[in-house]
Amino acid sequence: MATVTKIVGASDAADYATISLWYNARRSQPSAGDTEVCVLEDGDHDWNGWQGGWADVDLTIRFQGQNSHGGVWASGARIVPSGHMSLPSREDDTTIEFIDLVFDFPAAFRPLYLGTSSTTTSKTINVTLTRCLAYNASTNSPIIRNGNNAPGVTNITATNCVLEGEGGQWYDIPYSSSSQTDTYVVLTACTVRDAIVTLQGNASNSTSNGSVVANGCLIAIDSSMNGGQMVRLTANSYARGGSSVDCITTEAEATHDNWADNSRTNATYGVTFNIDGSAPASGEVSWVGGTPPKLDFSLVENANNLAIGYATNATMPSGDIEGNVRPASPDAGAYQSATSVSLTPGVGSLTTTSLTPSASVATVLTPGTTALSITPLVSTAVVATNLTPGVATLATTALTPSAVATSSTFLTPGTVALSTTQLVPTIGIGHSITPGLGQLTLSGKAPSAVTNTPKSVISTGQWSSSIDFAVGDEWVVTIDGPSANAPRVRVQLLFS
Amino acid sequence: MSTQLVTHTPDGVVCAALQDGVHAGKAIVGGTGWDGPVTNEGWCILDLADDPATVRQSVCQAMLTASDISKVYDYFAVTDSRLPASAQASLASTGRASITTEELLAALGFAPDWSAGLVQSVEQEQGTWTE
Repeated sequence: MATVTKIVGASDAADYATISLWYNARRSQPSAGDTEVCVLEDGDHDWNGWQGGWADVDLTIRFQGQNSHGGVWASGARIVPSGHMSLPSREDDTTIEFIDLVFDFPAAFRPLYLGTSSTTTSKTINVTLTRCLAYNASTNSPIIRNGNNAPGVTNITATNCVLEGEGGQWYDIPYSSSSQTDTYVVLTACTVRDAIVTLQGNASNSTSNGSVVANGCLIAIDSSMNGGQMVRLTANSYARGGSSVDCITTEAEATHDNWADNSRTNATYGVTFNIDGSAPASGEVSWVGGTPPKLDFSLVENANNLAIGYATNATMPSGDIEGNVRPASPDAGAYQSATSVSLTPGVGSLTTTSLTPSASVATVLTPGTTALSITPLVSTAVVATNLTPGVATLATTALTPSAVATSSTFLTPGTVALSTTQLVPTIGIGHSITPGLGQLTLSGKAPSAVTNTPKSVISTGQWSSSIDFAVGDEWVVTIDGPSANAPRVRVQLLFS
Repeated sequence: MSTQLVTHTPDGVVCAALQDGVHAGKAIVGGTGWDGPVTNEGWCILDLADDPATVRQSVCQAMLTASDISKVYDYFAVTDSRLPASAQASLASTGRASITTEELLAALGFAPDWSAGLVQSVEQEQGTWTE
């Protein structure tokens, strides 16, 4: 189950200049279960080629753009074919993947043609398109044609893709009297404009089945094209088991339900799609558009745009065609608008006033320290987004007064005032956000004072003296004797 | 404007017709120059003086009833042993050889699984068969 990756392009770093050279180098190499990856450099590539020589084993072939096209037709790796690419006569399961590519097809037969021989061995063919822009100018040739006329299943999956045409099919199976292949088409988060899926089976073969499932898609089909219906049904048993979830379409309800007949959830029918970039009226969809074909299918940023935030039921991919993150209630179609995604974090500010201790006696105060911490303000949003909460850190020192005094004293601790403003993210239309709460903890030290305790000696000796005092007289007590340490003396006089 | 005709063993199938100056890829041509020696992985490059469109049309007129088709690769193969001796020697030493379009046509045949009828069918289906 090896994966071998090679680069194809015009640069000196490329392994091969063309897809055909890559194919001829790799065709005999795969073992069962292997994946052959053809990474295409930016620029135009021609897939005109016959690839009938692949080792006939269960095989995955992946064509992948080296860089994202960014949702722009003229960018990235582009398939601009001068002829069709054929993988005929395969007897084993085959998966063909296309990732991050632009298909720019002329009005001619240029499809990927998948063919198997008409054996009775059941086999599975998978074709997946992921983040691809596909334009087909042909009205009778598809981008993908499934020529599998052996029994089995063909799965066609498109995710985050634009499928634009001129009324022709982007996928079909050719009419075959021996066709027994069931075909299942799944479109997720796709934008479809005038491009048809043709589920064509042999009317005499009632065992063949097929369906189209669409999730979170924008579907605009001109009424002049296939009766304004996205799926062409030409056989007795096709398009059974299809469904539509979170789709917005120009189709009439009955037309839409003709193919999505099993399940219809949150579908809006008969919608007007504007392609001139104008602001939509309520209930309309507006694309940035431009001059057809190959329109800019990104959504006009407007609260009226019905597509914005529409896909509330379907399981949508985490990103869009450009790689932008989709929120919890994503937009329908291949492009996620910025309206419901962009969150600009607010700015938090914090101010403090210094601690100013005061003391009732003149003394030396040594500033202490105060530890101040703040927990990060974490904004929480009700939409899933790639907003990264900022982290606020704050450290400060302040004054914790301590005092050394020679007598009893009274120190009044200083005060600190601290305030914060919340981080308030700004948010676009139609969404709300709940600011997070910051927690602030302040710890400090109460000022301390050290005073000396007076020493006390009580004499028990007795002596007496008497004298009469007149008003205004002064009297003096003299205590005489050796005093090596010059102690303080307190004399208590009791007058009766 | 000249042409590099890239072939691959074992059948000598023509895999690409590149203009001069186009690097066939580092898995085919060693070093950094587009005209350097070919790696020893079954590749050969035939350098022709004519441009790719002229080579393709010459092959069409020699091998098919068409005046032009969409490509010269896939359908045709070069048998090295039918090339001039000097070209064979050059291919053996460097994997490249300069030949004329006439010398190419003398060594050219259909690739395995292909015939004039099949080529015509495919090219007509995609609208690239020019009478």
